[in-house]
Amino acid sequence: MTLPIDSEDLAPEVRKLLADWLVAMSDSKHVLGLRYAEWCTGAPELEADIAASAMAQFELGHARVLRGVLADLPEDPRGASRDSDPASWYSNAALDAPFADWTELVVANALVDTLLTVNLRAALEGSFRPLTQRLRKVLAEEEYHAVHAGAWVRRLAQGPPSTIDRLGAATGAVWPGCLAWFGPPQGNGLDELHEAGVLAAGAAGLRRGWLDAVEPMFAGGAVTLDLGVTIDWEGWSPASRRHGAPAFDERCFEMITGARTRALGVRD
Amino acid sequence: MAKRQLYEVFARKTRAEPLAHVGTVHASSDELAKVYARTTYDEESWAEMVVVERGAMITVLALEPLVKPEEGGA
Repeated sequence: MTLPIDSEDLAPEVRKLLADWLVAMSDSKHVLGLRYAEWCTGAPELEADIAASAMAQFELGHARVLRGVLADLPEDPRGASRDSDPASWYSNAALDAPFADWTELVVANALVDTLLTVNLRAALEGSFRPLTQRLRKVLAEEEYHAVHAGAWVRRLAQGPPSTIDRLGAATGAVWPGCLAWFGPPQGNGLDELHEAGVLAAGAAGLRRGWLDAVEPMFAGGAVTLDLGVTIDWEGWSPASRRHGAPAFDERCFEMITGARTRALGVRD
Repeated sequence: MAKRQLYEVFARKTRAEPLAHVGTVHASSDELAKVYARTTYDEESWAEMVVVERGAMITVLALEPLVKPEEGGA
């Protein structure tokens, strides 16, 4: 059995990688929560409205849990630029813009939400105590997000040809950005966190775990997952685990940074 | 596309309590019924929750119709 690790047991360069991973995870969960919430009255049925709302609440709560771990690390990279520079946000590219339709929400639920869950499971099975102490409940709450994703992918895949086309297009748009999360063979940051004992798997293991989780959702064959897609690593950042900076619209950036409530003088 | 069915939702807060009816959801599959039951009826920290498709329930006593069909003759 591996002994628990605390932040002082990690080398500063590993703590920096961990801090970046925590920003990417918590920012992705924060913006995913916002994107789910934007659909809490727009889903195809009332029960799905409520599910979107519930998933939004959990994602926002999980972002807060991860930020609690992040705030205890001296290498926390978040600074004053968070309020003005979208490049200081490390959220997944699939979340840059609102979901244009329900199909896009379902695909993000299936691919992005599952990607984050696979990462968290590796952290729970790792040895970094501040995460292992907090993640059991988070992962229990994530269980039905995956059931929701799989059920809705299968339901849309049985729809008319135009719906299947939408499902395929949305999947194709999100797929490369999810694969890019795992990074290039060297210098991906995940292997280093695995070697330090923070994550129970490195980049290749996490990628395999993610594929094992999402492939059954698409097993009906209506949409083919492009397992051979080539990622151009030029411009990819190991900190944000993506290419380029988030292209948030002004309203979204104001919402996630709390810009419209700053002037009220009632914030922490 | 699968038709939506009515599911009855039952839950209990402790092992000692019996399962009690807490509500209904409409869903096109058992999987979605489970998700919808969990997200719709999340006001308690349930120890157990189950869903049953309405059509799978066995009637013991049938409800009397609200309006009885008029009997023939006068």
